[in-house]
Amino acid sequence: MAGRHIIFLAAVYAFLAPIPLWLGEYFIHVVNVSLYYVIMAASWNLIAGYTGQFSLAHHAFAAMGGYTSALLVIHSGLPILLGIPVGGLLAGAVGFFLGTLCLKMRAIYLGLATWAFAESFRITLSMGYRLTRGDLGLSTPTLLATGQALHYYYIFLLLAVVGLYSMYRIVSSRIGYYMRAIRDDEEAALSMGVDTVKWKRFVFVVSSFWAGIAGAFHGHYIGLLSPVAVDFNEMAILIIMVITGGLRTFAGPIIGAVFIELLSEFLREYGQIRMVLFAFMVIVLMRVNRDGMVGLGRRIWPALKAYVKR
Amino acid sequence: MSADGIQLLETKNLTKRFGGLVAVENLSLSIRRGEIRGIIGPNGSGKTTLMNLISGLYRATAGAIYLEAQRIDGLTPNVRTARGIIRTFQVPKVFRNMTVLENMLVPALSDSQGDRYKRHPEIVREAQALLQFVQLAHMENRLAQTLSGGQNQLLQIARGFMVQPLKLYLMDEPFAGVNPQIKSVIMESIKAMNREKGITFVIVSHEMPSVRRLCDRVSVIHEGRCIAEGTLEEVAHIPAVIEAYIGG
Ligand SMILES: Nc1ncnc2c1ncn2[C@@H]1O[C@H](COP(=O)(O)OP(=O)(O)OP(=O)(O)O)[C@@H](O)[C@H]1O
Ligand SMILES: [Mg+2]
Repeated sequence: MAGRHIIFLAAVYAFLAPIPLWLGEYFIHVVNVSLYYVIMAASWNLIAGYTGQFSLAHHAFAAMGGYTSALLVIHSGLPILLGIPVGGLLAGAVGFFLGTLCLKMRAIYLGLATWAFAESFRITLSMGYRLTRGDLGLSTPTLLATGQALHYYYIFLLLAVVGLYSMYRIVSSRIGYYMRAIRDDEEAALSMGVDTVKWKRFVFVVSSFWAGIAGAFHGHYIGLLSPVAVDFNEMAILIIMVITGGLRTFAGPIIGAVFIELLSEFLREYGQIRMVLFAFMVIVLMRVNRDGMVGLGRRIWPALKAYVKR
Repeated sequence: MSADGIQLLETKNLTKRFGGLVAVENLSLSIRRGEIRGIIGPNGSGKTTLMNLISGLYRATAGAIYLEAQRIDGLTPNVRTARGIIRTFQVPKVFRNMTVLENMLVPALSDSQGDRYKRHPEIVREAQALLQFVQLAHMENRLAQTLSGGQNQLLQIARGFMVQPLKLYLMDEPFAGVNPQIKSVIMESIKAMNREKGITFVIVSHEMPSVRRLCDRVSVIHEGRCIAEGTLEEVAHIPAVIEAYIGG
């Protein structure tokens, strides 16, 4: 059983590994950043999509992982490959506390509380400039001696494949049932025997952990961390990605993250106007098709098949 | 008093206050194992609050609840489910974005059932058998949100039967707003589960004909207190009961 899974993952990895061979250096970099967003979007979808806890602090957990790892590496000489998991674990631990704080909160209050948490964290990063170098940004040792994006691609891809696989295992297990039941009706889930407190915390921890890992790795790739990463815009981009791809579908955040990252790259010259375009796109999607591109595909696919058969 | 093992559920001087409002007051009930107990009373008399207290969604302000002579009022709802208590809701609560079959699986896969989730295929068969029994089998792959109100009621009732061991089933208005055909399916499933599995039922209902056909005894709740107990015929002649219904 486990053997088969590993072979499958290896096959996926081998299939995706040659992609950059057709791409230039800059475009490989864009692909790397999309892979970062794939992990971020998929892990946010666990908490917000599947479990219905609309947390607005996901970007803060990424920054937490990033700063934790960078500061440990810089000040204690910890190897980067240890710093990254420590960053993830710390983000997971803070996720546990934030999740506990938000246990009794419903929708809008949870959104507000997590947003306030993220803002406080951003301000702390700015104010603690002696340690974090504040708005100047913290230059971070890079993981590899080479600056070539191609090498990072193989690590990003590995991280994304492993991360997505572990998330898939969760949503396709009994825990996936709990998460969806909690989203639909928490009281009913509790009354049907689901330990909602335990599982909401669990999802908070897992999703923050992956954000922390992704953020730490991203930091050691880009070589610079700054409080700007905790700007609400970053969170908004994640929301846009997940909703465009398909909230509460497994493929949605993956497709959405790659699509939006590529699109925003093509439209780079338009600067901030892109956000307006994306926001507009989200509104239209929410009106016509709540399951995003995945839902659209599901609807078009049978029609297409019927057409081809005829 | 409950050590003799005949009483399945006892509440002792149960009280629930919401601020200044006393929704349940000094309520003591004894439900025999294997009994089908009716709970009747005018609107706002505290019936749903009582269900919420027994199932654990509300914490009692005062008093105690015993299941099989063990105190359970400090336990969370999911732990009470593990002890064998399940419930339905007055406004049916189904998992709208899950299929009918998935709805059935939630309690069986839940923490309350220990490692039963490891026997997934067996659980699915049990769920399908129950769906067959309540005539929802043809809908097992439909999303619950596409069901009618009556079908939702059927689904939430059938879903509760997935819990093992199931000792006490609390139902809040299972017959409200369902058509006669569904009503008879619900009646039959309650009777069958009571007869064959020895499950005890506490049923809140305004439907006097159904209560008469199903329940051994009824408790009349008025302004949070139990004002009478006996067969439906007996309590129907008690002046306090008549007054509660006319006055309330
Ligand atoms: N969560 C709550 N907060 C405040 N007051 C409540 C709450 N739940 C119930 N009440 C009040 O407690 C009283 C009893 O309500 P309850 O719902 O238990 O009555 P009921 O007998 O189930 O009525 P019905 O027949 O209409 O279902 C009512 O006055 C109600 O307004
Ligand atoms: Mg009620």
